[in-house]
Amino acid sequence: MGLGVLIFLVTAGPHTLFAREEIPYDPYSFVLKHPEAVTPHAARRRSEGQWITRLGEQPLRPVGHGLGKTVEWIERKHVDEKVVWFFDELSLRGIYPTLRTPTEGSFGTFGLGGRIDLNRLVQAENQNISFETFGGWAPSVNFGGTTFDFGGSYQLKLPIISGAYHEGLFRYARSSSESFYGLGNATSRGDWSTYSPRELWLEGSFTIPVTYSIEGKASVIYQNMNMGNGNRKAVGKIKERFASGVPGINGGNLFGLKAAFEYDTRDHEHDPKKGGYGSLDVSYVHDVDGSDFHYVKARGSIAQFFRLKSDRRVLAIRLSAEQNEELGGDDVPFFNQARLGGAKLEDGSELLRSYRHNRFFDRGLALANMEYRYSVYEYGDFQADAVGLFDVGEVFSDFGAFSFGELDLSYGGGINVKFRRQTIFSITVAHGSEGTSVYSHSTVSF
Amino acid sequence: MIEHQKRSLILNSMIIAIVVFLGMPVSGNAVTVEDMDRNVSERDTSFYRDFFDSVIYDSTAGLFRFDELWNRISFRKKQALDINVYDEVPDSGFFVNRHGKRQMSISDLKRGPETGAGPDPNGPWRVIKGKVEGVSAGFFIEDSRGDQYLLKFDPKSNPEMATSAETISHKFFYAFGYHIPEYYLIRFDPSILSVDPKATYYDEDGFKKPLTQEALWELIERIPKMKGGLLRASASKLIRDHKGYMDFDGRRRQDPKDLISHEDRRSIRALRVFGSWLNHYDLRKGNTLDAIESENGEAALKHYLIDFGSTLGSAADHPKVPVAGYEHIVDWFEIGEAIPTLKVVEKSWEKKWDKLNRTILYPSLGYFDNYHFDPAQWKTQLQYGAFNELTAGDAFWAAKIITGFTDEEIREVVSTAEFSDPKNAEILSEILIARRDIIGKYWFSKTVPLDDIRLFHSDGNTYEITFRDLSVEHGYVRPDETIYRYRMSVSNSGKTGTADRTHEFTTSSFAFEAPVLHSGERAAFQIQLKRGKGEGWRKPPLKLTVALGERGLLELVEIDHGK
Repeated sequence: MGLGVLIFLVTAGPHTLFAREEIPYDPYSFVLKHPEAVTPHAARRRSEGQWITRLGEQPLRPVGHGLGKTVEWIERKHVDEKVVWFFDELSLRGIYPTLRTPTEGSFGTFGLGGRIDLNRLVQAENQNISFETFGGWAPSVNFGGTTFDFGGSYQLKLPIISGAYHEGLFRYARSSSESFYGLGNATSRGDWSTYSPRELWLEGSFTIPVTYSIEGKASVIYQNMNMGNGNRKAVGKIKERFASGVPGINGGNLFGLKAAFEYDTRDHEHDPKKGGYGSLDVSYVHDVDGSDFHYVKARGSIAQFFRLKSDRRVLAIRLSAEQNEELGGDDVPFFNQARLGGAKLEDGSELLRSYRHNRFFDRGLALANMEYRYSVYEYGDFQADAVGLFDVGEVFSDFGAFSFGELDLSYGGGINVKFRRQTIFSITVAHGSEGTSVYSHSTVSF
Repeated sequence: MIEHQKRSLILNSMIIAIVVFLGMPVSGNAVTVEDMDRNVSERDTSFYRDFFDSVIYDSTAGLFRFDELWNRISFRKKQALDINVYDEVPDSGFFVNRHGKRQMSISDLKRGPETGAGPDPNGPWRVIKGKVEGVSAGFFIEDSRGDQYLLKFDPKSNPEMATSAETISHKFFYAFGYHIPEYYLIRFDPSILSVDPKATYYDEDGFKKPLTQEALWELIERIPKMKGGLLRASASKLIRDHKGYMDFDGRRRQDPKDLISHEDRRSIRALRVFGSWLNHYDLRKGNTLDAIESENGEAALKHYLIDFGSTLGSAADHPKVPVAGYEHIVDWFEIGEAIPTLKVVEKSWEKKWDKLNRTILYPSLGYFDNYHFDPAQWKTQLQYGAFNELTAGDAFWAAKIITGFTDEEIREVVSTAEFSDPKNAEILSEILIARRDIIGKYWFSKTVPLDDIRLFHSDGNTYEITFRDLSVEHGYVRPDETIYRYRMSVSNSGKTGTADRTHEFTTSSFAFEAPVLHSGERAAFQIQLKRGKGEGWRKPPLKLTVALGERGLLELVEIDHGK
């Protein structure tokens, strides 16, 4: 009996037992919920309505279409791969092109530069001696001027001491306009003037590795500096504004001896998360043309990188100090004095990023740069770090004249875009007592 | 009576119109293949183009699209337009109900869209050209039957990764209901390959060169070999005479049946949910194809999804990067949000990657797991407006289809990848099972997840509505912690009348006395639920509408899970 009921329930369904009737429907019916919206007329009306609400976008459409087609063409024709191939081929031949930016101003302006490893270029087999040549050019749209340099070097390995080598360097550099505001920390932007340096630099050195990460270097230097007025319009000329009182305003010929120690314990050259690097050098310099320059230069800097519990957070600190001490009542030419202001170390002026390049000149300098770099983007080989920065520094005639009250401050931030941990584009905004500056680079600050 | 006839006439006209637009064969309105071929233009895209459009153009132009801006500011969501009165997506050139409609057999699931056995294993296969786009190694062949296939291979560092991802995922997408080309997992001896004299390829440096036998062997050198020197590949049968990609936004105006903007299609919006399950972060217009196909003498555009090599843990030529699925390739919002937060707290995907010591544990699976998997936050590589238009109702629909796969079905589909180490299949199945449940649990909590709603007439004026509570059925919540309630109201021509009081109940059915419905009147039920003590009555409510049918009995005329 029980089995019979069970079979009945399974086959006929319990509803039958209780005389229930299901009222069926087709859940996949073609009757739409909003049929009025699915007509050609409604579709046309929606398209027209959308066109009106997107009226502001219409001017962008042809531009977007053109650019879209261009990138499509680049991919289809493998242009990107060909570009990579081109640069790979260059580097196989020892040619390393770079982008150059002007020393100041001209945001977004780039020039070209690079170096050539002559050994690779001619595929020389001798590994004990190597030759390199370099050069570059950058325009400045702000004043229609240019900066350029070229030079060469050779390196001779010394088999007596492992890792030791001798190096010779020749460099000629010329700039149509560099800024100068006078000497000291209390100069005014109203004294803005420009000079045009033409510099020949010859250096011979011996480098000996002390440890894996420390090396010592002794150099002999010859420097010939010709100085002219800068050609920036609406800005004073250095020789007119500072007719006297600025040592080196007419250039000079100098001879120097230099001893230096350098260390580098960074875990990565371009994107360090820990470790640090630094240098300490002392130079003795004397003129060779009777222009009364005779001084000792002592300079040191250390940069240290601290991983803050994650390599996505790094605190970078750089301390720098310099003192040029005249000897025998002679002078230190202004072009070899400590310089402060700007956002690019390679142009010789220390980092004080809300201030203009070369904003302060004097015989002494103390500076601290701090950056908190943290990851804000990561997708495969591409990364971007946001940077919070703080610079504090001062120039002075000697350390005794240093005053905390005269320290100049900059603070701000930026973004470093990296490809395989190497910065390919960097934008920095810094603010200080003289306003806000914006910089774009293709390198990290330090 | 005349009123009734009028209404019937209007209703019938509407149904016919809709049927025509949805592509059902109706004589007299047929569009021939030739017409369609003439009117629908071919169009191309590429990854760079998709990248540019999504990351640069749409991000910029979006600032001038006031309709989009208003929708964002007001959090306004629009109900999909391709859904029927029962909150389902009827079959169309975009979607065909398969596993969601009727449980497919294991063999059908494992077969997927295959109609044959793939390229003739006896060879010879003529290599007609190298693969031009995409990142994985591959080339096009024509087999002895004249069928053309694209063969794609695994990266040497991750054998079986990309081919297994493609094999598994295309079958799931087919079972969901999308149009998918035929993919075959094949193993072959490279000696059956011969090179067409006209074949060309792009070398690694981007230069187009004749594909010689030597060049082919060089390509093959980059492919991992299996036992006996066999090559393992995913072979996708080429769709001939296609018309290029399908946009996820807008519509093809040249197609007379494409009357719904694609961002208003549930089947397109829900790709975000289906994609999240299978980690298909490469859902982009470049991975779609529109083809003209003829059915019963009438031409229609069929919208295909293609290329599944970048699903699961695979990014085709390498494992997925740790951020994949968590952020778009350039996620302006995430970047903007990260800057002021100073990285005080690391992101979940960063923690996960660090916890794994930044290593891929299973090379054949790539980078794929469930830790910190959040279905609501999952993102495709490129951003599309359609995915942001997803409503709770759309997501419920997709989650319902996903949770419809049993553990066994998932394991069987995974088994078609034929991993050489069974452990890989086991791990992958477990991940997919867990992800399925995470998706179900999440999206079912955003709606009143009742399905399979049935209306019974008991006797006289008494009716009963039964349903399946999918959260209960799948074990995401306990049945005894759920309380349901309904409230009935009568409406006439869209105007809601007085509502009945609410009735609470705890079983998966409730009986009610039918109200007296006059001509044009409908009775609507708003059903809500709450689970446990902490939760309030869930919104949006599920709306069921009944009306008098021809037999004088109530009929279920509408189901709505809300926006």
